Amino acid sequence: MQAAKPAKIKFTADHWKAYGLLIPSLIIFILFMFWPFMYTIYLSFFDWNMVKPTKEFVGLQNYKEVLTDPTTYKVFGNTLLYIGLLLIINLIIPYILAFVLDIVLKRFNHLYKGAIFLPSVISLVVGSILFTWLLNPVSGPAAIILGWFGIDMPIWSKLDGWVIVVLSLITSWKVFGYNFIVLYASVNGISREVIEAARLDGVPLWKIFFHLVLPMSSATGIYVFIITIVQGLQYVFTPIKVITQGGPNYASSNAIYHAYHEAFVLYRTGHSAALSILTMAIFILLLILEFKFVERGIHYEN
Amino acid sequence: MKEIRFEHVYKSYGKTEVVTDLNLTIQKGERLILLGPSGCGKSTTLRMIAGLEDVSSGAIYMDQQKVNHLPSGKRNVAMVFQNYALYPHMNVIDNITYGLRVQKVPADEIKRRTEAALDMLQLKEYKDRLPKDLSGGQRQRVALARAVVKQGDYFLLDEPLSNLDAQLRVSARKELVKIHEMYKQTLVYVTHDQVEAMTVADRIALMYKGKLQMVDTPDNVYHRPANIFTATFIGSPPMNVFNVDVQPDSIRFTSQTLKLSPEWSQHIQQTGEKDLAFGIRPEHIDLSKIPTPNSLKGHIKFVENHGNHYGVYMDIEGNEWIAMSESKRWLPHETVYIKPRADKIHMFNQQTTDSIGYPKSLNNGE
Repeated sequence: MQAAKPAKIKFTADHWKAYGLLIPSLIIFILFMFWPFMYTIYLSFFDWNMVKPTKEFVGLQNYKEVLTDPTTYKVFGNTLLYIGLLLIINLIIPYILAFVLDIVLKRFNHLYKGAIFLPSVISLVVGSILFTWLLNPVSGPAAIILGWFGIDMPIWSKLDGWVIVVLSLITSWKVFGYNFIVLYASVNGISREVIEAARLDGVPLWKIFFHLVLPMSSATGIYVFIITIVQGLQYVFTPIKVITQGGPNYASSNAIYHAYHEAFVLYRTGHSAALSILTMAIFILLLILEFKFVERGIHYEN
Repeated sequence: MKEIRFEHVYKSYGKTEVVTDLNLTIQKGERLILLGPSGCGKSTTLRMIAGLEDVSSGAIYMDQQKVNHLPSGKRNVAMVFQNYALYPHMNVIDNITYGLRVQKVPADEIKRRTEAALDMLQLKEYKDRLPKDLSGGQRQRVALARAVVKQGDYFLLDEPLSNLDAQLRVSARKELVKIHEMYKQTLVYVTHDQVEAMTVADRIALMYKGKLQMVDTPDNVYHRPANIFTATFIGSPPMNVFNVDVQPDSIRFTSQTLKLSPEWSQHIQQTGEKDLAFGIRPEHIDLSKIPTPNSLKGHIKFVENHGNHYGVYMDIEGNEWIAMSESKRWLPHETVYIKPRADKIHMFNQQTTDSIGYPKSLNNGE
């Protein structure tokens, strides 16, 4: 009997030490990630305004409301637009720039690197305020310069579409430098000999980029792709909050800001929770698709 | 299959000069080995041929055309890099054909060349593998195949065998010579390994501290070194070189003297050189336990086993001499009498370190 049993895992001193070291981060994880997540799921089935002592169970009513509310679709559309813009500004452009700086350009590389990274260290709130001033459609320097050429600056904060473009630009001001440095490090890590071998074969630069640099740095590329989407959407929150509060008429709101708005401005916690859960579901779906279709083509060094 | 010519080429990075006044012509179709210790400028020289480094001053001509500003891709150069520089995300066949496909070589031509290269280098069964799934020797062969299919006029190799183990290196070396015999490109090969240089080269160009020391056949580099650096760099263990006083028909070390052959004393007299350094290779010294005429007396310090011979380190009047012997009867602390073979000695000018040449009767090397 005794011998047939598989050896039971014994808790040795090492195990306790390991758990001891894990506990601080586990506590933080449970307290700030896992618990709020469970609580959000729980709240999404109730009607509550944060102050009422009782919560009323409404089943799937919140989800139904979210899915029939036209604002939801507008906000998700905005979210997509934000993602598209942020990917162009914070993935594609820094990728090309990293390539140009590392492989094409021979001089002033350090200067460019420093200058591009610098904005990343400044608070986004400060940046947002700075940009509302710089881009003020009437009295800002950008408007004045455009005025010299007889161009009227659109009142971007009041126009659908424009407002998203400007808020994306402001966010990028912060995200761009970090993404650039990460991509630069990856491009820089590619063996010079490999690039030289291609140059000897007369491979044009754009082919070196697409055929060699892109696949060889793709592991980092996909990382930046994902954080650009996830982090970008979170960072956008700050300028939305500081500059437009989601307006005009939800034209600049995204899924994350809208969830915040529902919960902490309109006090519809159930609605907000349901929206959050749906948002998360969409992102999980995207991640699964990424793992299934993109990850296969990624080249990892080892 | 065209010649490469360096005319007064200098290369410096900021204030550091890596190549100084290089004048060298690499004949079409020959195998020239750029040899030298690390940091001597040999790799830089090779990279200047490839166009991967700019020339600071002077001119490089390839096929009579000045190429200082010709981009790498237009020089028709195939190169094998030290770390092979294979494209890690492409399989063997893609690695080999990528350059050809970019250059729009017709598909059937690519196929023909690739098949030939795969056959020759025995890579057929690995053609779908990624570089990371290949051994060092296989990767080296893929790099070689990639250079071969290009069928360039110039074939450059930057320490191509340095990452292989000793056995593999010998077989890869033979393979390389075989390939070159087939295509006869102008081949420039950088190495710090003198055995590789001796076995592969038609001619060796020896560099030291950015300066060309000697360019000649392996035989001449070995038997007729142009200066002390060449004499001591080539050969292992290195040549014994000591300053001597020249007397009419003999040379004097600290207190002992060695009689010179009539040819040598006549030659020294003709050149009129006074302050000379005497050189003799370890394998050209005869050892004896009993005094022999015209020998130097010393004692043995220690003996090194090299397998097929013994390296005997001796103290002769405070100088360390090395001799090679096939016999194992030499023991430390014993007295020994050494006799350099009269026709195998070398003489150098102490100041310039250049060779003073050899008596006419000996002038054909071996």
